[in-house]
Parts: sequence; C-alpha cells; structure tokens
Amino acid sequence: MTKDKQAQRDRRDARARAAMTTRPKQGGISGMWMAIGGVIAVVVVIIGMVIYHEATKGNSSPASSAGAGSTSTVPPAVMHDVESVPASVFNTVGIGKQLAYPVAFHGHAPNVGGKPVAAYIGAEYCPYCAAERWPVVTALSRFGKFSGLKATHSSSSDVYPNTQTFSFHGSTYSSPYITFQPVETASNQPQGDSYKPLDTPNALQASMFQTYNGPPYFSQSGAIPFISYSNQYGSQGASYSPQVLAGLSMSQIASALHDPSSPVAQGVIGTANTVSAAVCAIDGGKPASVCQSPGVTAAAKKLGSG
Amino acid sequence: LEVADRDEVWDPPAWAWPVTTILALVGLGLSIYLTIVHYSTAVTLACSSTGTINCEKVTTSPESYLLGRPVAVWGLVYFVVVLVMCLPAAWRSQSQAMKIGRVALAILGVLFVLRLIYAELFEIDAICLWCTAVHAVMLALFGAVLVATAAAGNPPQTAS
Repeated sequence: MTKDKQAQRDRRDARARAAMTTRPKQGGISGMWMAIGGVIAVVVVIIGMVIYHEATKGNSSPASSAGAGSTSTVPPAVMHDVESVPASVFNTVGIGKQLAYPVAFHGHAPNVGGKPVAAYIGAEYCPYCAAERWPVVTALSRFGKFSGLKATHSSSSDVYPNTQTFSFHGSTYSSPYITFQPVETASNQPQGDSYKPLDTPNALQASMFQTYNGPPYFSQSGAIPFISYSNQYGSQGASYSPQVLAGLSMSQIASALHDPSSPVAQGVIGTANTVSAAVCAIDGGKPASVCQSPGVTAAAKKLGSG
Repeated sequence: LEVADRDEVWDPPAWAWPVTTILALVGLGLSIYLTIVHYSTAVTLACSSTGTINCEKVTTSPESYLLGRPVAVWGLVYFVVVLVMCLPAAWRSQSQAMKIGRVALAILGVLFVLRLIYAELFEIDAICLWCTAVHAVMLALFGAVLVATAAAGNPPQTAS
C-alpha cells in the first residue's frame, strides 16, 4: 500500500471516529423524524379508512317503496348476508331440496375476456326467475363480486306473486374465473299486454338461447329463466320451489340462508351448490376452496341429470 | 430521507438486523401458510367464515389476485427478498443500492398493505385475520427499516 493511500485511509477513519464520538448525526436525527413521521402517517391513513368505513356503514338507503320504479337499492345487510354464507352451511345443505338439475349441452364453449361465459336470461316479472336469482347470486359471490344489483319482485298478478328478489338489470360482476352475462328482458311494470322491455340479448346470448333453450335439452322452448354455463351445462326454470320464498322479505330470505335447516336454505343453498358445481366444471375447478368443498362435489354428481 | 455525505459512516443500530430479520421470518411464515391454504384442499384457514371477520371471503375474492397470481404468493416472494436484505451482512453492506432497495421495498410493502386494507373494507366488506397479521408485520417492518436506516446516520442517497 502506498503512503498516499494510507494517509487517505487514516483521514477517512479519523472523520468516521469524529462523526461517531463528537458530532451528532444530523442527517440521522432529521431522517429519524422523517421515518417516525412516515410510520405515523401510515397508521393515521389506516385509522382514517377504518373510521370512514364505520361511519358510512349502513348509510345507504334501504329498499324504499316510495319510488315509482320497478327496482330499488338492495339493503347492505342483505348483500352482506348473501355474500357471507359460511362454507359450513353450503357443506351441510349439500344438494338440499331441488326440483331439477342442469342438463348437459357439451356444445362449443365461448370465451370472453379469456374466461368461460355463463349467461342468464330472465325477466323481472317472472316468478321462477325471482327464485333462481337467489342461488345464482349466492353461488357467484363465491367466485367474484356483484355490484349494482337492485331489489325487485316478481309480478303481482302471476303465480307466486311479489316474490322478493334481485334484478341483474344494470349490475356488473367481476371474477377472475368466469364472465357472467345476465339479461333481464323485461321489468315487472305492465305495458300493454306484456311488460316494459329492459335488456336486449347480444349475439352470443341470443345464440345460446336459441340453440339450447328447447328440445332435445328441455321439453319447452324459450322458457325463462334460462342459464347456459359456457354451453356445457344449462338450466331452464326454477331449480327449487318459489313457494319457499312466499311472503318473505329480502332480509328474511337472506337471513334464512344462514340456517341450513330452513326451507329457504334447502332450496337456495342447495341450488347454489349446483350452480357452483356447473361453474367449477367450466372454469377448471377454481377456486379449489369452493370446487373441492363437500357441498359442491355432492352437487357435481347431479350435473347433467336434468 | 435526506442526502448524506458520502464519507459519513454507515453505522446501523445493533437491533436493526435481529428485529427486521425476525419480522421478515414471521411475515414469511404467514405467507407460506396462506399460500398452502390457497392451493391445498386438505387445509382450511383457522379463521371465522361468518360476519365481518371472514378469511375465506377475503382469500377467495377477486381482490386476492394480482397479475393472475394469488396475493399470498406475492407476499411469500416479497418476504424472501426482504429477509435476504435484512440479514446481518446486508445491513452491514455499504452498497447504496442495498440501502435504497431496502427502504424502497419497505415503502412498496406498506403501500400494498394500504391497498389491501382498502379492498377489505370497501370492496370485499370482510376482514381476514391472517391477512391482518401480515399487514401488521409489514407495518412494523416498514417502521423498523426506516428508523434503523435513519439511525445509521448515512441514509440512502437520493442525489449525487
């Protein structure tokens, strides 16, 4: 080592010793305050989010009958109940009490956004659609999230009148597993001899409806509700009796979903397991926590049995 | 953190590596558990699945995925990298890249935690206790890395 390098090293060591013994770490002190401030800022942001969440919880106006429209806001508690049905309830109910199961189509599987497509075609006035939406929303909430769902009821002049339910009109659904395309063709508001029209099926939905919603898959042609699970399986009509929902409010129905022995849970949760099994059949069995659960695997054995 | 004299010594406090290493190990352990549960059908989260506390709802939500991979897997990768950067040799390192990288990683982690907490509160409407434990570890790690870096007296340089 040269003398110059040794001298340079000695000077550097001397500066270091001085910094540690005689000079306060100015950068360290102000940096320390910045570090502490950063931690406090993050904690304050978290506390702020929690406080805001608690303050706004339940502030959404509940379903109101004041409006003249056919739909209203779904009470947050209803959505919460539907989205938080425990896995134990799904597994205890299993297939529950269903009237029909999806039939097998085994057709060409459409793909939208890189995901298989499940399409629902129904109408707000239709009492069987009113019943079928409950298990569809309950099941699909295990695969993704709905937003913009509205509260509505079936026609007051049809069988199972005023069955309380959701409307898919104007709603969105996001899932990493499937694309869900619901269509509500009409409202529950009479117009002439029929009901006020709402959504028009797109080409894919119309094709599914025309190709599979009739013989040899179903005895009736064009009946609603119709659901196609990526043209592999499909259902027509209500999968359980709408009678179990008669006279119940949305809150009462949603609450009953958590009681496996209730007739509501036997119908809705049983069908939700079948809907889940059909979705698992088209999305590669994901997520495993749903698709491998006892309730869904029990329902999977009924797929294709009609 | 402010610009420091290049000649000022890098002298991290004695507690820096043990504290951050332990936190990284705890975070890694939690992430491994969440990853195993995600991919296994034989293991379920030891957590409530009803009401506001609902781990299953959170871990099976669309928000539990990032760039097509489960967030638990990203957490596992994150804590492996953080663990390496919090070992004694890494804390002793004079490398500016190491110092800046460690702080940047801590900030990135805590920003992601804020995003996940927002998702739990406002999008999923459920809280996952295991995820909250990871968030707490991440916040503690963030604080420890920042304070230790500042106390080292030669914070990472942001300009030359």
